Amino acid sequence: MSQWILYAASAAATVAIAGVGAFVAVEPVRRLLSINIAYSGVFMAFVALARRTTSGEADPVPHALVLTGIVVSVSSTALALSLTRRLVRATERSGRDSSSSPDEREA
Amino acid sequence: MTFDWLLDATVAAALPLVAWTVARSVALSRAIVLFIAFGLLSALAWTRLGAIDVALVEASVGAGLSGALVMSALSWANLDEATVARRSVIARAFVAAAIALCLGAVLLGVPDPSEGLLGDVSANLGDAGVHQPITAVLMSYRGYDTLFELVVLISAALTIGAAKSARLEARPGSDLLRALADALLPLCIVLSAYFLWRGSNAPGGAFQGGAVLAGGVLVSTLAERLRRPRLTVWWIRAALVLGPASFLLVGMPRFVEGAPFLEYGPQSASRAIFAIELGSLVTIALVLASFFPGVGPLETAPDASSERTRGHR
Repeated sequence: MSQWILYAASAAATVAIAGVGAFVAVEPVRRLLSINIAYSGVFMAFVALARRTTSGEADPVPHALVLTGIVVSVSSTALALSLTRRLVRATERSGRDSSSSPDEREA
Repeated sequence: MTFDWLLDATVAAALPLVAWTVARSVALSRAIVLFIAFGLLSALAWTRLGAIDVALVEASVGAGLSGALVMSALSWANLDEATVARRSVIARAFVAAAIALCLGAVLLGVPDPSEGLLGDVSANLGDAGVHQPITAVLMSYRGYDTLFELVVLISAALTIGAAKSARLEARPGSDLLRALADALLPLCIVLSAYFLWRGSNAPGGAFQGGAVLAGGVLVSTLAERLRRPRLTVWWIRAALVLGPASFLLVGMPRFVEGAPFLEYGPQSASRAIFAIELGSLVTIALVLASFFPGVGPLETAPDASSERTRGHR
């Protein structure tokens, strides 16, 4: 069995498991972890498919796409985390003082 | 040969297994540590597949920086909610297996020996000005992609700045951490310059260099040797747009003369790509470093206090 087939199968399993994990997760941070792992699985599929060449040298275009993808995935993770943090603080605040209405606080 | 196959099979089997344990761990801290382990495992897998550039970025950004980011979530995430429903495991495993089978059938159904775009990339490498095919793809053939990726990064950094996350609480200073930061930051600067310079004919480039530099800055921020870059300062804003700006400045002159957008010309291509990579490195390092919340005493955090007063008005 050639090497890329092993990793392509691994990528398919990883995306499936992490995808289901992302859907069933209750907590936002946990969901983010699973989404990130699903990203890695997609990248793995790209890198594995780039390896189908006969010369042994991999196709550089998927590699460049994955490089771009990793950096964008980190920025999306950071953005999601900062919004989640904001949400957690807002929920804590509304739990602390229930005297004022939520609309006033958000304004 | 057999040993190679065994190693590949182990890594390939470990990846979905770790993904499964991340989804199933009860404690969030455990899930996060396993997530970082997953990043390092995939970096190993990519080294096995000959994607050294990708492995470098994954190890520094995917496992390192993402890991630090999600770990910082441990300080504020609501851990009481961290419950994993134990029921219907079989149903979920069934759904996951069905998805995996469909994806696997599609992935393995592609034509097997396939050269992809390797021939086209190699044939035009002479005009690109660099000898490393991936750098040529990123900076020359697909320059549009990289230009707008930098714009995406900057938008994310600005949005995070607007969301005003409060600082992390500073622990009593540790001399060991400070000494480590002081030793690591110069090393990271040298390493990132090396990656940038080597990027034209070996694995490396603006992404790898920027990620390593951001890592060094991050450790120094955590050790309170540096402050988090403040996006309100004018020169930090100028440095933030250095990447896209250098792309446009280098790409414009030939565009005005009638050449396609972002074409550098064979004579000056090598220098043009280096200038763009230098600008991109600054942008990438600054954006990645600004993703992390600052560290400082909670009382003096201006963002948090101003928000609190506004909230009670």
